[in-house]
Amino acid sequence: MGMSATMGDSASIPGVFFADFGPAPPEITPEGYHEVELNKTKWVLPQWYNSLKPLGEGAYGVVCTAEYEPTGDRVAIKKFFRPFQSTIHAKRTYRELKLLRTLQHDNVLEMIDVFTPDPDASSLNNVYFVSVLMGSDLQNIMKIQRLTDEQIQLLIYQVLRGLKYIHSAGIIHRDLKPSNIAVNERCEVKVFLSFSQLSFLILSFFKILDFGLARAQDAEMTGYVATRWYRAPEIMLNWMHYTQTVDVWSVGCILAELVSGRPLFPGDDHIDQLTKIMSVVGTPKEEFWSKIQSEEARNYIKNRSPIIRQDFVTLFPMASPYALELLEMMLILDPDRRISVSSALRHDYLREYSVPNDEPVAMDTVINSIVTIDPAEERATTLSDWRELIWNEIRLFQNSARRLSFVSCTDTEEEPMKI
Amino acid sequence: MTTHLPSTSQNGEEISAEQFNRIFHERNVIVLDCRSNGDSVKRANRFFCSLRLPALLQRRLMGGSMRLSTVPDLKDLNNSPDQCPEVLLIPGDSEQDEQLSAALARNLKSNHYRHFVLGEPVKTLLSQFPTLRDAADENWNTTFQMNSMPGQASGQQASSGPLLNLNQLRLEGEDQGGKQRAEFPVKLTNFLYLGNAETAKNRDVLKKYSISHVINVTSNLPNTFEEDPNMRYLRISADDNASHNLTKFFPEAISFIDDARRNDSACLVHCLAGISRSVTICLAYLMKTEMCTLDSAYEWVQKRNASIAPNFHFMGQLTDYEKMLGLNSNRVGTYPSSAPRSPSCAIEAAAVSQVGGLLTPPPTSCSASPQSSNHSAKSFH
Repeated sequence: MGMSATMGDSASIPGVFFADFGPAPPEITPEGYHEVELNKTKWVLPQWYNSLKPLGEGAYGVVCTAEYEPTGDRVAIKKFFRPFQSTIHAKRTYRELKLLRTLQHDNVLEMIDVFTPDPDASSLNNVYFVSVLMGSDLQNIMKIQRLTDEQIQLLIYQVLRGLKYIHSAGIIHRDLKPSNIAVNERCEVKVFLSFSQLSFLILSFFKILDFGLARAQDAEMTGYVATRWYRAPEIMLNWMHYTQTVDVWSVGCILAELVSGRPLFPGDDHIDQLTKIMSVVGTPKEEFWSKIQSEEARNYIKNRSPIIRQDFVTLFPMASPYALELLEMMLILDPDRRISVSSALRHDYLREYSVPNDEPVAMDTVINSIVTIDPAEERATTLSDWRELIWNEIRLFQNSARRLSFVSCTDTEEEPMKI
Repeated sequence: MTTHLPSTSQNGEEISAEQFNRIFHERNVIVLDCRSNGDSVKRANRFFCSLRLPALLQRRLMGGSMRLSTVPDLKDLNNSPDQCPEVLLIPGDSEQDEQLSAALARNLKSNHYRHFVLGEPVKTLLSQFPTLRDAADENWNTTFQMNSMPGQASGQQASSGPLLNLNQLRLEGEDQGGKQRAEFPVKLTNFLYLGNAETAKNRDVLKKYSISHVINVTSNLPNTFEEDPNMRYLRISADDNASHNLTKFFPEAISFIDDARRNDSACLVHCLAGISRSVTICLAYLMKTEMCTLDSAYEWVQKRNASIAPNFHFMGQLTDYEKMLGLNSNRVGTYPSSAPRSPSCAIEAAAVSQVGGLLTPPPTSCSASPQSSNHSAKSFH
């Protein structure tokens, strides 16, 4: 029967074969949990999550929405596909869990619960993450309606405020785009660190020579596939060292789209993408050329006739003078001359909202938790080791004050403080 | 119309539930609801929730650093006095909410807006005037239109449809270019296939397409079946960055692919993702053997797999290779994807003339050195 269940699980993923490296799922639903079948996937959840609806499926997990019964809030729950299929998968799951447990900022989408129906570390095979479900994302909002300048200011301010925190923790988002900006009906914004992207961030930051996984992620992240409309040109030009201003470029593209109502650089492929960028911001100056390491790449791009930077006033007739000024400083080809997140937060366009001491940065404990590899992790080699580590992370979060913290989200602090 | 006395309260004129209902339906008003999200009122708020300020905005208002009219939903407060809506304030039910109410009242007063404060519990208001519940419920799904109330004289249209699209947390981004990523291996000619890491280790796929030759353009992926006497491998050790020169490998790669063609079998060219390095090798082969421009070769491959993206370092090398081959590029001042599409693409014409067969053998013989080829290719046993 256990084997049959395992085969069923494998068969539910069309075209993909997964060897079962771990113990069979528990036959008995543990106390306090209930079981739900949803689109051929079995969910075993605490009893306070109900009314499941499917949301999406990806390479590493499946997501549904559910109602948190005590308050009626809807949440998003992600169930990992076989987190212990290999030590690479286990390592990814562990680091994602650790990172999400660590980051905490009201403009960054965060984990509010994590659970497993498995009774102990040795039998751990199912891991679920929970986050608040925001009503929509910026991509969908822009499909439906044009926003007022006041709304745009509020949205952009919150995106930059979230970025300030992420950057202070040593993380570059690298994939900011409208669908990664969650928005609710109160115009509250949370920057969404996509799950697959998190793994890349974790790996690249820890600088572990995990070639198979790092390279696979690198191929996805360096501008080759999926959405590249919001990606900074230096990423596409294969610069060796990105800076945090790659995210400022993305915000500039988003701001331009919010103001004009259409994408600014909708490239058909990576070559067309660069063509469209230069047709607006102009061909590079000499100091930019010298930063491109590859002579072949430089020669390739230089074949193009010189282009003068377009007049943004003409390009964005609906934009206010302050919005134009900020756009000019964000959409600069040379990342060394591009405005930083901190400076952008102080720009006049956002003056109604800018309060530096209410724009928190990550505490040292957060930064240390992200950059430090703890001894147990360093020693981990077997799946059993990773099970123990992940089990501990789950327990740590479940015992923390942050679990289901959205239930009482009132701000009781008199003074803004470092998170 | 009941005559209202001038406001004598620091925090605006207190009104009864009955007055609230009348003003709501008769005048141009904005309702500011300052109640919190506590458990006890969470569900109640669903039926009467005209404005919920984000915590960030609440702090800005209480800090005095922000004008009330800056709140997106309160834009109408910028109107001239005779067109400015009046404000109905529902005070909070906790200490913190009281602070917000007071901040809002101060803000309204200092900017000379006329406002009224509900002096009775919301429960009383809703039980006496159930239509308010229905009216508010309609507005629940019109995010960003919360300043448009049914009783408003202007008859402003609410936006159409709720915004609660649950596309958040998608794990796979939608390709906004609308192109589909091809399944590997991608057939470029009858004997040339483009693949990724997965393709190269799938014996069934290799057999299905008669692939006996494999070019592995990575430094770290294994030649999975190199013990098989029927398989031949050519490894080109290259990483996908700006420090590798693929040009010097073009001749032996071309010779290797031609060897598969002459033996009536097929060659797979793969790297990790099948996007940059392997594509570069395939483009070089097509340019050399079909004597076509980089534009034409690029378009040929892209039609079969939209997700190709040789990095610009490799594109530069291919441009140099094109010049070396003496091909007419027509590319002064343009990029491949910007060039006008030629209706007489060389490969397309060749493909049409070769129904069911191989492409025409190249007019120029391969320039690869036999010695170099033997040195790099794995020999038969």
